[in-house]
Amino acid sequence: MINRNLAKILAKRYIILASLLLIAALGLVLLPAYQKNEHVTAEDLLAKVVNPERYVTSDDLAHKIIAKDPSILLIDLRDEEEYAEYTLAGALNIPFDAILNADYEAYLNQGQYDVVLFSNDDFKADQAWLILTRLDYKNLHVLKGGINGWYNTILNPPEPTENMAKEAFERYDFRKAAAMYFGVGIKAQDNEQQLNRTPKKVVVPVMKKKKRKPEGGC
Amino acid sequence: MKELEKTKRISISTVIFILVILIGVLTFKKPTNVYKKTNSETLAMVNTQDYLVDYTDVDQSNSVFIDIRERFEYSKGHIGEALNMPTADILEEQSISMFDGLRDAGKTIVFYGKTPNEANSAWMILYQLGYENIKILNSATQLVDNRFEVTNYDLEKPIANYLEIFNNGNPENSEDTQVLAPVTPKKVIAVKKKKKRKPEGGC
Repeated sequence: MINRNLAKILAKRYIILASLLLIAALGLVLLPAYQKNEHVTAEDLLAKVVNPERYVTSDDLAHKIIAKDPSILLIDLRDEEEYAEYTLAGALNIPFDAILNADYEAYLNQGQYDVVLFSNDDFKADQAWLILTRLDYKNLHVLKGGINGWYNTILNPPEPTENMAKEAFERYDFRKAAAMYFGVGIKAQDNEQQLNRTPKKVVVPVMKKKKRKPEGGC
Repeated sequence: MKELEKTKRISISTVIFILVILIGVLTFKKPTNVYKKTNSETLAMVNTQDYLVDYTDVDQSNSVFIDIRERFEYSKGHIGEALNMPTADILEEQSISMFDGLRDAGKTIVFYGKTPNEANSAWMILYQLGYENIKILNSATQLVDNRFEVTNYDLEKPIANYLEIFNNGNPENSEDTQVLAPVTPKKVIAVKKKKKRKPEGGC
């Protein structure tokens, strides 16, 4: 009895298997299309946001500029006018609206330099950082406090009061010296010259991105 | 006999095939948080400033304040009925389900921190995940004499005419600074890089 039933099922085993396969195939076709995250997932992005390493303090940056550290690349995210008026030494101008522009990708998406983004405050720079980091660009940093912070700490540092620790005085001395280095205290006429010179320096056209197709071969 | 061998192989491979499909389906993991906004959409939104809201403009009855500072800071003082959710926790399951609930209820969520800058990251991540009902409080907050104060904040406003400070230098040491003057370098680093060339030909 059992044998006969079994034999009956066995005789139909190909039909059963084939229909199973068919059902599986149909199921795969009907699978809902799930969206995938390209580049960095939200969780990874959040982890990077929380990591304090993304900020550079103005003191650190001043040290690096004075030591002529070749590994930093300063990016000014403000308007062109603001850039022409005043910017940090050696900074390039990439207006905030243009950060996704393909022309600038070569500056922002590379592994050789530590890119430091800055704007007036660090709000815009932070937003640019988030957008670019989501694209999985590496080595991006934000200048803490932006140019305002730079002005308040380096160019115009608050004098430490007498009850402050020794480090505060050392820091103040460094900042004073750095301000001198960056040109605070020079004569007005020099500034006028500088002012006249600056607008010419807005040379940022990046002609690159020669994505060459692989040539020839057999 | 040979025929039998062949059919056996067919059935074995069919079963394996079905198993593979089953395993694939069972182990499929749906990504939890998917970006709903592209980068350029986000950039456009960021430029509109629509996401910033002043404290006086917040519709108290239809809004929920969320304090994104650390728990300790929150415990010292916070806006009246604000909830606490440190930036690091915004993607936890409970937080997401809370955001979903608030969105479905049509409530506006207002993030605040010490400054709008602090609330910015949390807002941006959630905006990109599709929560469009979140805003940032355009205010600075601080604890003054045990009272939690909300003051207006000028976002991204240059605090000073940066050039002025250069003109206010001490005239007496101008002799030395004459030498120092050319130090301010406005160098434009030419970044010539990134020639991603595909490997060329060859057999």
